[in-house]
Amino acid sequence: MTPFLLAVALALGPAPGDTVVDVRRGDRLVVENFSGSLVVRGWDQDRLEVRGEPGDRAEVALTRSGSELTLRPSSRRGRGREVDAVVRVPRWMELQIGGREVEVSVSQVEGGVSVRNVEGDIDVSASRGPVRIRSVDGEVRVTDVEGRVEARSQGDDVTLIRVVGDVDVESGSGDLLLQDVDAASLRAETLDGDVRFDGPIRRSGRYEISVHDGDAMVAIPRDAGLAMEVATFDGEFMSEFPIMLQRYRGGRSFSFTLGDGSASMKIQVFDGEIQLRARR
Amino acid sequence: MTDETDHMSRFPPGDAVGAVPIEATDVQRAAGGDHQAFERLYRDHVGRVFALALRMAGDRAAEDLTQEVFIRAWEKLGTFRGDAQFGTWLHRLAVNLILSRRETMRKRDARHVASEGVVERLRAPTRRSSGAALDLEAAVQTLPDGARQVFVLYDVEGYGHEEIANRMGISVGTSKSQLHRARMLLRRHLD
Amino acid sequence: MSEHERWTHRLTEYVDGDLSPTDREAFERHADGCAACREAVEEIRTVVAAARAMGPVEPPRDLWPGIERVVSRRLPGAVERSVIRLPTAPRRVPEPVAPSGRRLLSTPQLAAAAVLLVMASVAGTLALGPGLAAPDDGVPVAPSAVRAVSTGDGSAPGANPELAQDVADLEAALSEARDRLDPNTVRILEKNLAVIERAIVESRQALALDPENEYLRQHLDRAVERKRDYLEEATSIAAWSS
Repeated sequence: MTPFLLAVALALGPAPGDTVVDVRRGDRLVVENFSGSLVVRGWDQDRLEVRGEPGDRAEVALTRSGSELTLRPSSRRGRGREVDAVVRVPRWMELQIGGREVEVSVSQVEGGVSVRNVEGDIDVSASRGPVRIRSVDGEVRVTDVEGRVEARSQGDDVTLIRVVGDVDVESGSGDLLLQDVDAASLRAETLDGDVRFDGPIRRSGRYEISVHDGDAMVAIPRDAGLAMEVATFDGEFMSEFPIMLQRYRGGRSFSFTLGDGSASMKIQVFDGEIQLRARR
Repeated sequence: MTDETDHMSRFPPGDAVGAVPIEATDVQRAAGGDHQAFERLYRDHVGRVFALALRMAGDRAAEDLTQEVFIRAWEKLGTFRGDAQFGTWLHRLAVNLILSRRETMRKRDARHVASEGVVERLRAPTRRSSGAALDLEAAVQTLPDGARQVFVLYDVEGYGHEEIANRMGISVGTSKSQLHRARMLLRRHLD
Repeated sequence: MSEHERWTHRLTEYVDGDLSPTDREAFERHADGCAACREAVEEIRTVVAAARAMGPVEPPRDLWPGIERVVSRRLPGAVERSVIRLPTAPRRVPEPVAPSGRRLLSTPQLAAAAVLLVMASVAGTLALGPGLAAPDDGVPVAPSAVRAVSTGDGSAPGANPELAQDVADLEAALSEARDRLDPNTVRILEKNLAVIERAIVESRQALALDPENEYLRQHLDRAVERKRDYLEEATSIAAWSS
């Protein structure tokens, strides 16, 4: 199908630059090469609205190809310029957002979100997953999300608050904060930073936390049933739970069981402190 | 590794802030989960922590950083073993945290043009300092990041160049030249 | 550089007492005849004195409610915990003697101690026998000693040659793409890569000290894997962001 140009120009003030198009269930939105700030909000209409912030002089183009709508800087004037845009989308719409230096805020969507950037904070909230975020140097925040969350920032923190779903988070040199995260499968790994996990433990859940240089602080329910495996090269382990070491696995690795041991947790810290606490 | 206690012995001794016996009790209470005891610790120490954050990281970041310092302190109360003043321990923690956030703060500042006058905000504090000190407070904010941080650590907080170089990941020579730069810039602001 | 300029760079050193006695005398001789230098010294001293007098500043609004919100939901790093102190670094010398005279346990002894049923009261310290409490004043190998071990370039993986090849290929691809990337992106990529490199070097050094340690082997492999993943990501960024 020949792509057709839906709209160009967010060049004017509040109203005249707005663009509204009708969309059909199954359509997805791809934002490419975006630079600046992008706010995406879900709404209960089968329409997509793109609004430029007052004062913007850059232009973006919205094109359709099959079921894919693409928003990108227009080739004439938009490239390399910063745009601040607010996009309203139907809640069901799947989003794929990418840009080099872009701050992204997404909320109230349910069709799945994927965001990728080099710099700029990424924030996804009040949505249903899957959520997939990859940033080279931006801070990542995911709050009030149901569904699988995969988030990675090489250079900054990743924060997940009130997430229900499987979690896979990674940072190169940032902290990972997982507060009230309810996951049956969780993996958190940072090289240079702390990991803090505070959440329920699911029966038969699998939890893996790995830190190179930093602390791991884990708060779990008092009645959690967990087969724990702990390993460190140069660090100490503190537990608020009375524990019985079952196996000393050589080096500085050992395992023990809490409750019925139905779930498993592995905490590895190369250089740092491991703290196991009871949730409050 | 972020365990401040590991570095304690290498730090210069800090000021004793507050009455020791009362503090020891409040620290113990706080470590046992007593929020009110922790609030008392907060009230006793917030001025010093906020001042440090303000001078090191600037007006915009200071409030967030101060809150983060106290939250981190709460989480790390278990590593405070009572072999130093609580104030000293807290101060180390604050310096470490603020320095570790430099990168993030810089990025944030670059993205937001300062919208509020620094001087305006500085006049608001309840505990007012003398006129000259106020001028210096505002003048410090105008220094370039590196010079400002070295100046605050060396001249205000009393750290040595080696310690600063170590903490900031710069050479001793750079620390010295940043200090010189800061002082030369600041002297113009004094009457 | 004139005599005067030579000294303007060293005023701070003079004020801080960092000049050698010879330089100090030389400066003072110069300052005798140089009003500008004398004035600058006085001004620097004023700045230093004012800095030392800088006191606490109360925040413009009460920050406690925000702190309390978090604090009320989380447990403090309280004294109510049990502590297992693990040996802080591998010891190759059998049964080293701590300065305190306490003997540290060898691994078999640790293993024996570890299978003991250890119940800690909530407020107590988990006692695993004297050996495990020893690192406090024992003879752990200091991190600096660990870092002194030479480990080559730190980029080749521990055991997996395929991974090494991947890493080498990607490094080549990235260095080729480098010119097309925005300089700021290059700086960020390099900064993050340095963190991974450091983790690899440290893991390798640790493994050199304790070659049988399965955790360290896995940790190193994982670090190298991360380097590969990261390089992959970096090359793909080069493709889409330039």
